[in-house]
Amino acid sequence: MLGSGRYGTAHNGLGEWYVQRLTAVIIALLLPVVFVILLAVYNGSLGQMELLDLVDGYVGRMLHTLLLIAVLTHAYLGVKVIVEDYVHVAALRIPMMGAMLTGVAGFGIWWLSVIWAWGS
Amino acid sequence: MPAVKRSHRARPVSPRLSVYRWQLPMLASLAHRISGMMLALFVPVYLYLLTGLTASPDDFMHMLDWMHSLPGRLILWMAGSALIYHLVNGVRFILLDAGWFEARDSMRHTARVSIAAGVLAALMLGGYLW
Repeated sequence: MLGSGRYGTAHNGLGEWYVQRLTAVIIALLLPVVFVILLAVYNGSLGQMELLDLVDGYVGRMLHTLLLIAVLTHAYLGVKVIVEDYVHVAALRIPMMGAMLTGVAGFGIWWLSVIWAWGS
Repeated sequence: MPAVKRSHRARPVSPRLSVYRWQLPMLASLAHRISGMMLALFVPVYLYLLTGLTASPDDFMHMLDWMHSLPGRLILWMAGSALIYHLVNGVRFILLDAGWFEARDSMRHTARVSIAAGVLAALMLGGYLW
């Protein structure tokens, strides 16, 4: 546990603080659009063909890629803050963040492969 | 570098929920973390949905059926409500970083706005999904 007399040991807190907010702005602009599309699919007003038109165009793929990078970075940094605050045992915290980082990278690769494989 | 004294180790560090009286801004902050965790857990669900919805027409119908099932609706409802809350409170946090609403009263007032937005979103989305 960090005492009040010491600073954090990561030494890159300010950079992470900034990246957390930068990715937040990107997500705030793009993720609501995705959720509205999902709700439109849900109530039947958007069929599969219309959905594919939206997601497999170049603009759709680029925005989707930007969004996935922002979401995974933001989620990683956010979970990191929570784990660092509540998991005080380093032998538990470090493997947890390692697992999180690996998981985020894995989802990123899966997500990218789905986005860029359409139509090929 | 001076040795770390023992008294340093006994001092409380920030997220010790048990030593503080519950306040609205504290609740807003905690709810931001909880909703963020929920959204992080929605990422694999989203990939599952995306893969299914963009595969064959049969897969699309199958995925649509799953979205309309009770677990599907519950997951969409929780993720959507968490998204709206996290979005509104996230804007609040960025405004706080920029130095707005930092007074005690306005902290409370804006926390109330975030929580109200989350509750309203949960009700409206519940109405839409059921």
